[in-house]
Amino acid sequence: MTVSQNKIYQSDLLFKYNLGNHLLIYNPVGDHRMILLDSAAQQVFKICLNHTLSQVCDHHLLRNLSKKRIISTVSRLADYGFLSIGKPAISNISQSPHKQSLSLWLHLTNRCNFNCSYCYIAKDNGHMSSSVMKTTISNAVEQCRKHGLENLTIKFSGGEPLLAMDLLRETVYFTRELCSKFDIHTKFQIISNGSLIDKKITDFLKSHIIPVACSLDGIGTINDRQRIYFDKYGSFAAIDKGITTLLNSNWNPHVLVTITPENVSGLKDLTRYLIKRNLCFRYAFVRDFNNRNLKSQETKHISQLFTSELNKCFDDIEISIRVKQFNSKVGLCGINLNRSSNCICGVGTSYAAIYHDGSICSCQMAFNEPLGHVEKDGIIDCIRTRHSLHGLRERESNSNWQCNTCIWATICAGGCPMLAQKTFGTTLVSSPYCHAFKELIPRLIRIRGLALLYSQN
Amino acid sequence: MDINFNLEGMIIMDTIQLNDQVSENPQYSDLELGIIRETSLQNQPFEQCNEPDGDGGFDDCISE
Repeated sequence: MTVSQNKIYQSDLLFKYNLGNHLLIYNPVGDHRMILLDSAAQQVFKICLNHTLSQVCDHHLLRNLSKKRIISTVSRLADYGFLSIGKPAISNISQSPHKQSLSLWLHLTNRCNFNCSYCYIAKDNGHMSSSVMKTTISNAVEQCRKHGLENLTIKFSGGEPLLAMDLLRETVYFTRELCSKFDIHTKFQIISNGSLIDKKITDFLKSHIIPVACSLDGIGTINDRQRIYFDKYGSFAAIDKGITTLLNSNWNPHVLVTITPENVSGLKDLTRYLIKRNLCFRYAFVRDFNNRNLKSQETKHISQLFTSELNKCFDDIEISIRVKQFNSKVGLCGINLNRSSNCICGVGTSYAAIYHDGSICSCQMAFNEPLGHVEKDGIIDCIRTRHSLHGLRERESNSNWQCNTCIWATICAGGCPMLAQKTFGTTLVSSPYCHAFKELIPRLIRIRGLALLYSQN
Repeated sequence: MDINFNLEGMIIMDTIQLNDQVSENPQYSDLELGIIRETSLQNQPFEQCNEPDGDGGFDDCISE
């Protein structure tokens, strides 16, 4: 039988949304995740279902399209993985291969000028020495070479890493020089509270291509309910000044928004602030497992409250994209629509947090559970063999993983595994924020589709 | 009409003599077919925002 007599099938795991005259199709697996089809292309796509190519070409609803164009459309959609010809497509939803990279949270200092209500870092005056930094970087480079990794990303963190600016500079120079000897590509990022950013610091960060992430949780007093100095003084004015300084130098920060019951009422105003400045930002739900019982009914209520407010924010974002006031990236809790994975982050495989004393930890939320030390243990060896996240390795094959039957399992991957571990003692559970993810992931897809559509117009 | 595809689904032969043009020298771009596509490599719809490598966010812990 020739292919023209074979049935055409749509891939089995497609999500479709109408965006005006366009149909948005999202494929959670494969190389081509998202496409938009205009009215003619979507007509072809819809008629393809369970028809043969010959039938599609001769279909009366497509008589205005040439056969050549119909065949090209079908062929292109098959190439991109949205159609299959001859047999139903069974999507392989196993996780994407790990990137050839190691990413380190480098805890330059335990000092911070802020005392935010939800911060999980137990702060004191401890700071990383030059010697520990050099041992850490040398260890990381040696481990990258041993494991065949080509990329090393350093995230300057703390505490407030800008309180350790001299060490930060030294780290940049030392890492670049060492990595250049072994053809390891180096990237730096800084996670700052934003309050200490001035023109001089901005110039340094920009000249060394160090992206900045700043935290901001609301406008004015809403932010100041949870992001405060040790003397309880609010931080909004200082953060706003830091963000403005970065913007004035065209070194736009990525803004991290942590949603808690205390600031959720101000989320819409904050979103408008971010839209107005066309800033990239991501929302995250508080992971304050020390002070809040996330198993409780209260958490379900909080999750619903967060979802309700975020839906309003997403409405504003959609409008702003449509009127071309906003075209920056919006994220939620690290969810990556371009990747299939059974873990949302690189914990246990490609990510480590190095405490200021050189302790190697799975994650910055587990500084109290060191797995080894940079002076005697290989960083990657350590995180891959000693992490204590129950069930993380077996998720893909373990029918007990609560997310196994969820259509979004490889997208949100159960949320933060450390949060699951700390809350429930295992990672084989769904996120305490599962309800929110299920409702909001489709909205993230829609926003992305709109951004794609309006970037073309 | 008689059309064959190779394993990749590309049209390689067509008795109505369309396929050489379609497969080897495509006449239509995506946009001409009414397809707008996003991949990790092209059509980035977003303003560049100092993300590490466009891989899903400059989160406080996310890495892959």
